[in-house]
Amino acid sequence: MSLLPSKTTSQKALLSHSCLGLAAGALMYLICLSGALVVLNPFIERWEQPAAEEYSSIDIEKLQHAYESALSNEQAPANHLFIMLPTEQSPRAKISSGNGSFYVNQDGSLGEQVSHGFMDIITNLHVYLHLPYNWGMIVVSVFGVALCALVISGFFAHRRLIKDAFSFRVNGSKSKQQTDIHNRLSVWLSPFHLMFGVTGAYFGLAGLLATFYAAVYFNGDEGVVKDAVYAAEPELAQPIAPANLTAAIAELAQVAPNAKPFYIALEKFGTPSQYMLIGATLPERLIYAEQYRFDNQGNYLSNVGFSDGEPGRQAVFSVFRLHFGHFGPLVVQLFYVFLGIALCVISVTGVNMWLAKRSGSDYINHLWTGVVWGTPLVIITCALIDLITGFSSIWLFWGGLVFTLFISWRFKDHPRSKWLFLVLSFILALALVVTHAALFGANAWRGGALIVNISWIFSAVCFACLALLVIKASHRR
Amino acid sequence: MPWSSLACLLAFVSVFGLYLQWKTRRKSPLKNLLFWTAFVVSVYCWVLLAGAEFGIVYGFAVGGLLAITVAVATANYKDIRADKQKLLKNLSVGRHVWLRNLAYALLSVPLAGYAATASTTWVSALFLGNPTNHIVFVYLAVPVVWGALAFVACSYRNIFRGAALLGLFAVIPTVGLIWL
Repeated sequence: MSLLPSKTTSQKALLSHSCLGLAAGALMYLICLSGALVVLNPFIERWEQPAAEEYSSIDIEKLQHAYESALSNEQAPANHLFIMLPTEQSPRAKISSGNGSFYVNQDGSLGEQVSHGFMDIITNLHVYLHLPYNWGMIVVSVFGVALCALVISGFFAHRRLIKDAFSFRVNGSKSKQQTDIHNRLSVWLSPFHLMFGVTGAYFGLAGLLATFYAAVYFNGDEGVVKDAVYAAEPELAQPIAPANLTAAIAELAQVAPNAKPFYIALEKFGTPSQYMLIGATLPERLIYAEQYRFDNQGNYLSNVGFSDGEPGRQAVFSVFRLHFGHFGPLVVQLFYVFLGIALCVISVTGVNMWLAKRSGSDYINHLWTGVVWGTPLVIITCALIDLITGFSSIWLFWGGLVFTLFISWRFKDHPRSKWLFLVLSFILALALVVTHAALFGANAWRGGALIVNISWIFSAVCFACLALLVIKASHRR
Repeated sequence: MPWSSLACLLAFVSVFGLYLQWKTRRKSPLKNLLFWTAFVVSVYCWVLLAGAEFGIVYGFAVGGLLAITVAVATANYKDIRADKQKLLKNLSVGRHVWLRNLAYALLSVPLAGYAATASTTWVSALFLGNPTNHIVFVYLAVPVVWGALAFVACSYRNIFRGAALLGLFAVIPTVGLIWL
């Protein structure tokens, strides 16, 4: 008995795979490319503001002082207050409230305002494709579903899965070359691709599914579903006063000695029901955080149960780190960047395989070149403009992308446009590093900024190599 | 020897062994089993080192990376010109195919979404247990079921047959949910 699908099943699966792949290709590429950058979010944020003070820990008394300063600076009543503590990847504390976000200096004074114009463009592109937030999240989640469909159909479509397990014909015909790159990357990394599909779909669909589930089982009461998954909030009635962070952190050390706190959130802020949530990582746990609840005076109330509650609750809070790779040493993040770029390559080679089957080339080839090689150029341009002028806008990104599509369409010669975009990307990536170093001096070559600058230089080298390959290929023709 | 070194070594033995099996085209089920066992043991070593959750991620990551590295390192550098004639013989694929695919996906994906949500919610209710686990099961299973149904629907040359199948998948659990 063969475990392989029959030829008819395989042909049907291939039809379905190409149908979904061609429909999703371009936007999937944008989501994956931005996702690869979002993995480096903590480092890029440090690169954007390298002058902010960095430290591995902060005295909790100083943090209390910073929190009270932020409270006294409140101009309008805020409905939330969030304090991020220094971590290994982001060694700087920050306070976010209605007035905006500020870094906290190690002496407890408020530092510069948090401003991540470039990273916001990339993060929002990945999370909701710059569409209206709620709809955009759902659209991106549907691409997660499409990724699941593509992984499943890919396996059914690939009858030579075992025969071609290590086959890699780099310089074969364009079609074979693209097929091998597509299949090897997708087969060997498929557990991760399926995981990205499932966890990516969860973020946008959870709300919709909760509504459906509540309508079916709880007479439309979504609160019951929310409480079942994320636990009900404590009901408190206490005088309105600043929260005692010092007492809460000291109490946490008694309650959970293994917990490493990395954020404090004030829920129901400024009301008699206000309470503190201290989020902490636990050793050998993938959960984003276990949340410990304290009242205003810092008395321990309960933990939510993300580490020791129902398996479902533990699973749902593991989704974030698993999707974005924000755990473990730097090499894990680099692996996740590789996974993101591999998914980009799979998206691109999938469409290229279809293009290679067509005789000749037309506007589809030209526009596809504009999307694939124009997007990195536009991303680097956005970073450079934000760095020099402090101006960032989603219109800059989309305007730039339309411009690259126009250039590519006007050239009517996709190897030439590809070469042009690669050379420009190479020049601008190097210009980005030089400008960053000129603006921030020694700060550009330490910590997170150093990692990101090295990544830009590495990208520039890759763009240069690819540009040389384009020239080589054109000489061969 | 630290667990991480042992895990990497076992993963390498497993992947390289599977590669040699593939290269020689000699099918030895026993050796295949041995190399796959080595891979499972390497994942177990990661689990011992970093806990079950991180260990499984690290194990699969190292295995996948090694396999790709072996494929790239042993790539076949064949001259592009040899295949030129074959390339010209390819059938022309019209640009309307892309539009047809888009239409297929736009029709089948939302339908599959409803069918997947209704069927998964219904099936989850058949299990005994805690509502928290039911809900999270729905959250995480719907994307896979949705993807599988979209794949099945798009595999029909006649999209209306695919849509009819999805309709059936949607109606049965909906009746089940109303009955519940």
